[in-house]
Amino acid sequence: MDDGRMLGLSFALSTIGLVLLFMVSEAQGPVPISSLTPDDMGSGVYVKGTVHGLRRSADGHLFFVLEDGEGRINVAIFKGVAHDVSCVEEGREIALRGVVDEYRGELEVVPRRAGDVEC
Amino acid sequence: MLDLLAFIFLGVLLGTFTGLVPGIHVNTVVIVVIALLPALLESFTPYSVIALVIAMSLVHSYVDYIPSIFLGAPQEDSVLSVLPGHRLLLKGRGYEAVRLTVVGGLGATVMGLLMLLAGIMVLPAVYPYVRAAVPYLLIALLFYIVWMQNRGRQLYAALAVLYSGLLGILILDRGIISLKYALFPALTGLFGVSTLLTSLRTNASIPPQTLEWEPVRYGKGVLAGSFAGALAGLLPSIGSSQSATLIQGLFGGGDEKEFLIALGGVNTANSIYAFLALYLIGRARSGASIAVKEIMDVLSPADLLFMVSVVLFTTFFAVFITLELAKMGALFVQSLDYRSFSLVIIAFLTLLVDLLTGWRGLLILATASAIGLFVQEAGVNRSTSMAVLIVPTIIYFLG
Repeated sequence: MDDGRMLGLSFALSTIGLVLLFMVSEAQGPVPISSLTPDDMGSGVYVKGTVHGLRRSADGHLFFVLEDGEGRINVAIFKGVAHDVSCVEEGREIALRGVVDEYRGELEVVPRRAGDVEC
Repeated sequence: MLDLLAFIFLGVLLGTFTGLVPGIHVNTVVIVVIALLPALLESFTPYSVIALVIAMSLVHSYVDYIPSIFLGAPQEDSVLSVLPGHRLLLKGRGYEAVRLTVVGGLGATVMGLLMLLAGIMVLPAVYPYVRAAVPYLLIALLFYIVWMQNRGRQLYAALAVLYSGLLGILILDRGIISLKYALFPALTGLFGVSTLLTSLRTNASIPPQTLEWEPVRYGKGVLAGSFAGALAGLLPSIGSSQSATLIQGLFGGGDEKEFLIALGGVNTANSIYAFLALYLIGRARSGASIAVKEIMDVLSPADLLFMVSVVLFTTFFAVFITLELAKMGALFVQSLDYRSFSLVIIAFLTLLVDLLTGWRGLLILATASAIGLFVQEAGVNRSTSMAVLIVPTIIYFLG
């Protein structure tokens, strides 16, 4: 196969692959909270569970624990995002996307946009 | 004292294992160590367990260049070494390629210790400013790669950034597969399988390998590698590879030996500074340093001295083992038929991806390989594909 055809073929396959991966990501559900480990730090996750221990700090940050029956993880929504999130309530089931981080030795999930929190 | 030595040697063995086997990161073992912590701390001192984690992490940072250079099977930390390493391998200088990364690692260890005092005095004050500047540095880096490193091919380079960046967002932000293994199929495809496929197309062969090396100037590589590795060790979401891409501009396309030295320096400095960050800024910056923080939340100057001592003691074993394994690797690959060897390695990597990540991982591997082939066929600088890590990192910092 000549170089021009190879270039076209590899571009076409790349495009098809990315479209398929996007479709897979749209179709999949949340990951079990218990599966999150320190290895996941800095990566994005999609989790679902019930809100417990909801509190808002004086600075406007939101903090709570998300439980899904198998595990629990701290969630921190900082004020820039928390300002636009109004649907989080104690005992409510929500789903959210966020980045896994670590604070004082414990893992936490940090949503980065208001749209990352689905109530 | 005896249990301390035993734990260090166990760490050396485990680090050699995780460094040699593609897809198995040192963090995989760290998770087991964290799970076993309560039991371990009942029978052994915290210092023994910390020594195990540091020894494992440090040895891994040296050994993981061997599969990257000889097999084209990189891990996240060693991915950029595939290309210059593979070029040297095809010139009969695979051992020298590994040796250059070892020189970089050794130099970074010395530099790391020299910079430690400055770090203790200056870092807490400048850290917030450096952290704030990171996303803008990375954006500037992407523009630099597209416009300066790909003259006349900017459109192709921009497409490569777009596709690699989209791939990174899909695998790191959307959680298609377990995040623990998400980068393995992507980096293997972008840099490993695509390189092997191109070698197959061009009928490349592995010439007889020499165990000799040529004198090389190492000052620039060691300095750049140490600085970039320290950045990677101290800043969140910045790994060895993003940091190494930052310094790649310094070396352009020609000076592959100095670049390999810098890469070795980045990896080792990252590994060391991830531990020093615990003392300097009180933050864990790697899976291994989280384990240390679990064991000992607040570190004293004496604890810092202990960690530095373990690093120095372990470095001897890391260097010795890496060079001996590289000699064995060089003698082994030269006896192989390269075409069959490449096919076996591609099959092996595909099987490993399937075992670790299933069909979704295979889809990522296929897509990443196609993007890697596109980058090569378009004549674009291969480091452009590092957008797979850089774009998600920029998004992380800018929120």
